[in-house]
Amino acid sequence: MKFSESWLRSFIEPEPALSSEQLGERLTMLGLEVDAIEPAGSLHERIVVAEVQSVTPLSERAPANVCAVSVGAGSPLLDVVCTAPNLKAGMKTALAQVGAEVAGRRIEARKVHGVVSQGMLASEAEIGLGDDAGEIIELDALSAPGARISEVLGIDNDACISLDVTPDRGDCFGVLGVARDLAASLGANLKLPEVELPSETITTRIAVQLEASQACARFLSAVCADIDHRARSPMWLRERLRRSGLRCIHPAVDITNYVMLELGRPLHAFDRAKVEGGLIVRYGRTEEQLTLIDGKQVALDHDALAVCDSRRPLSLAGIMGDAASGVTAETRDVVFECAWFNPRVIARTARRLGIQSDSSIRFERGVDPGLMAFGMSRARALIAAVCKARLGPVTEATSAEHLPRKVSHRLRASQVTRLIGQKIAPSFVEEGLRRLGFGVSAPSMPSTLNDASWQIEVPSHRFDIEGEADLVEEVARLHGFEAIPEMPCDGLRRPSRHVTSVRRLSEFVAALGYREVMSYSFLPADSIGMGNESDAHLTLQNPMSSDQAVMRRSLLPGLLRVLAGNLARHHARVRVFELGRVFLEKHADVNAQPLRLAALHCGDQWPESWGQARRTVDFFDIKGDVERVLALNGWDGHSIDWQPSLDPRCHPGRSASLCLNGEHMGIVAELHPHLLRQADIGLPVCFFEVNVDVLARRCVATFEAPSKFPQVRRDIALLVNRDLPVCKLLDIARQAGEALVCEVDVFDVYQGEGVDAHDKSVAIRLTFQSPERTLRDEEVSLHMERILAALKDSCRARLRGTSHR
Amino acid sequence: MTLPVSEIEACALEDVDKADTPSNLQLVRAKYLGRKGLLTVRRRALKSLPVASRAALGREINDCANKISQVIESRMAVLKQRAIDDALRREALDVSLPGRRQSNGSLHPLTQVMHRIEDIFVGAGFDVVEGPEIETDYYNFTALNIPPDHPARAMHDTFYLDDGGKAELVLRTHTSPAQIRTMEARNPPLRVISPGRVYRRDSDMTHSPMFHQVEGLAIDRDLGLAHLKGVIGDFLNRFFEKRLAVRFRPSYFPFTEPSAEVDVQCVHCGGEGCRSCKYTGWLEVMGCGVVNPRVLRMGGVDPDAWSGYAFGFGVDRLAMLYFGVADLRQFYAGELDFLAQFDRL
Repeated sequence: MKFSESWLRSFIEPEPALSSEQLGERLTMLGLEVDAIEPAGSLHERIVVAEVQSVTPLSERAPANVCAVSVGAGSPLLDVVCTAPNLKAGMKTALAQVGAEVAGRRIEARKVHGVVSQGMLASEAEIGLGDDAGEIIELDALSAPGARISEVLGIDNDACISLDVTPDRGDCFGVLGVARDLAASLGANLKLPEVELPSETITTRIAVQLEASQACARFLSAVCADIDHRARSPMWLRERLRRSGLRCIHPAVDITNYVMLELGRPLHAFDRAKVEGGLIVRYGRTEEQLTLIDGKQVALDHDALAVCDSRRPLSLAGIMGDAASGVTAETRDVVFECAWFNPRVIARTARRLGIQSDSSIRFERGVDPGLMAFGMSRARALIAAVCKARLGPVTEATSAEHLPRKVSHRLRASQVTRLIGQKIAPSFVEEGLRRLGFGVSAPSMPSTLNDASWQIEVPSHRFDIEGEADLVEEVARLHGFEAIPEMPCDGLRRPSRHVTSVRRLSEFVAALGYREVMSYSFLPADSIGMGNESDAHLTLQNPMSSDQAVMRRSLLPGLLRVLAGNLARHHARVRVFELGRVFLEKHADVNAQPLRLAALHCGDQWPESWGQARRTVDFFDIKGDVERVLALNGWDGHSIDWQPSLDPRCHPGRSASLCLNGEHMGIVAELHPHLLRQADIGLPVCFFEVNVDVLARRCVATFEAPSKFPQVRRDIALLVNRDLPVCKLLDIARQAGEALVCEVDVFDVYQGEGVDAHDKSVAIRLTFQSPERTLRDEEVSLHMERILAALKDSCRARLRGTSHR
Repeated sequence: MTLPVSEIEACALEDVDKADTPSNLQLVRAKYLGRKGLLTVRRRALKSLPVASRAALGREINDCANKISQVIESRMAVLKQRAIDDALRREALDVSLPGRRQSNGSLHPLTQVMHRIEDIFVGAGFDVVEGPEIETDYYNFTALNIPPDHPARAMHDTFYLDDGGKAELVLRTHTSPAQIRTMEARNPPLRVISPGRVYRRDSDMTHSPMFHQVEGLAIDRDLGLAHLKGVIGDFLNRFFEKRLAVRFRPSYFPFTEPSAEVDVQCVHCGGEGCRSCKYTGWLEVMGCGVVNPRVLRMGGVDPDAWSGYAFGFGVDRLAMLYFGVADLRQFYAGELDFLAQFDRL
């Protein structure tokens, strides 16, 4: 919403003693956020009012005239050459005198067919006051010759204010509504424009029929006949429209726009000659079409409200008119429409057809049904004055039951205090609301003084007042948010239950040397690294681009994109992680959108250094990191079941799926060379992805006093089949050793000379310790025998060597 | 032919001086004081001397032996120390060379900012809760007093999930659904914040189709605008680590009533006016208000018994202001050179 500051001030009495900046600040603090305050224009001081005294053709050959113009009683008449069609003796217009700067150009005296032209009679376009370049400006007859145009048009002291009106304040899409708020906050009076309506001289009526009375509950029509073809909108009106960012089109249209800006009340003007019979407001029928005035073709349906004549639709109700039924330069008689449309109906149609107009913006938010007759009078009076139109009577159709009802709400003084957090004087509440147009009953004081309450009637221009809280907001706005004290938060009431495990996790992984990245939750449907679940991905109905069409099921594709980007920027080593949700099922439930942690490492295991041999990262590097992440949450490596992974994205022999008590919790892998080729990555890439929810299901630590008795260690080397998972040996050793074995570690795995090609040699260290006594050697040996027997039974392990330590 | 003791002593002292290692010095000790050492031999030879001359010579030999022993001891200490010093000198390293280690990791700048935010609110008694990113139309809009066709829906450019045109599931456009979900799950009094990813169809220097918000909700017996102002003003001062002017101006959100937008004094120009603040001196950082009684009722909370406030703000925007990042999209590009600037963990 944009309008001129002087227009706003003209509604307030006494005129506010505030600078433009203060006025803007005031509006912003009232909740009418000022987006910009710009100068109303800038005109050179040598552009002045000129009175055309005489007009003479310049020559027979040239289509120009030379005219003598007066720029004030004391100055000599000036000769000016002009080609404008509307030039006529006696008119007052704008002269850019010699020496004036116009659009960066200096006006010079110049000789045309022997006449020295002393300047230029200017059109609006030439001096930056509008689009009209064909005709020169016509000023009010009372303008004093010689006066600066910028002063006459009130440009000097004016500014254009742009407001960001929130969608609840439909009433502030008119200067009147803004002025009402401002006046109330200043304690000033609101002054409505005065309307002097000439008497009706014709009797023509256009009948109106409301077929969809729920959508259109009231409709006024009025004929204005015999409009003057040569009439132009007067300069004051043109300037107000210009300063609101609107173009002048035709006086009848300009007037509807003017009333819309002034009162927030959209009107529509039809060409009487194009209306067949009466007007009918009804829903569209299939196969009905409209060509809107912006050229857009729309097909109507049963949900689109239209204003029609007896044959066809003439406008998309409340949104935009049809090109064929609108006002043109040839129009003789105009029909004004002033209607009340249901906001929901207009919003639905506007959204579905993707059309937004100055009119629909207002109707969607609610237009004051109490201002219809006044709006109509305002428009009729203006067209009578501007176009010398003869007025016909207003025809009205109303479905009273469908008009918004008057509502009132109870407002308790206690609630004002409670929701604002500060006591507000009852007199302030009453007066403030009254100034905003609310009806305020006498306060009732039932039991205690603190519990006074009022019955507040909501005015017809407010569509956003749904209850007591909205009334409190009105009071708070007038009181000023800046005047409300800051109450300190009264600190901890009880300990926060915030679960910090996720934060610890990301801090830990960062400390392991991974950099955190954040990638989009949506991906291209053909991303690399999606795996064979590509079909299962959830898709968006309206993505911004095909690059963001499906919701991720894994963090790998995003990390691969990050990797590719960084490899392209010549990073040879990339170590990154992401913590974020993946989207598995179409449910608005966090369990269907679990949190995952994934990390990826490409290139050398260590940063290149003088002190370390270079080698590329491998499976056991990344597995080590996973084990540390597990340990952070209290999980031992051996409480996890590491099964070969079947994930097609992973190297089939170098990947594992992690299971915790039978529940899949993630994968750790070297990526499949095939996938790397696809992604054009020439280095090995290791990766893990774990389900944070399972991971963070932390075991609660239980304390056991450390044993005071010595440990006994035995090392054994076993020969087993090369395909046997070592973890099986360890598990069995642990079980067979019962409570006395406290640790089982692998310290060597060997294949090669001296060991059969089908076998491998695994060196294991067993640590024995009792919490109660010093173990005797024979006791340990007995356990060792049991362990070896168990290993032999279940793993066909053969003893290769043994040693005591 | 025997040397006078004094001469032996002189030779011994010379030998001690010449010995440059502990083992050489041991040889010197053996030469003079060992079982076949010169002084030992002389002492043994005393027996063959007349008794009268034995005493004087014996004393002389003993004195000499004591002296040599002492000299050797002190020389030995010097040599041992020297050997240690030499060994240490040989072991010396160029300590300016870098250590062997894994490369630096880092937390994403948005994560760092999120942690700061959480810390401040947790310190003020707020719990942290999370909600789903794929959300129902009901929680994202309807329960927040944004029914279908409400003009406020036009404020959100919503992503819809492909569900055969039912338009029931959306990518949440804000973290505000957390208000309803919290009220459904907990009884007042309560204080929570809910951080997370949100989605809107928008992309340029300052907009990304995915970004982060933090929602806050407090419900108690008598919470109002004044309490809201207290919490938010305190948060902004702590977050930016300086006292900035903060202003609340009335605004509109369907789920709060009264509603306010919060501006802070521009962190770049200190309120003088610059490009960042569009020459207003203010930066808009969040929306907030007193929870609309309709929303309380939707969440099953009796507005006559309880009142509360809610707020919501963009984490990305605060991070841009805090770190001075101009292009929001950099947060999501994953460039190591960008991320390496936020090495602080």
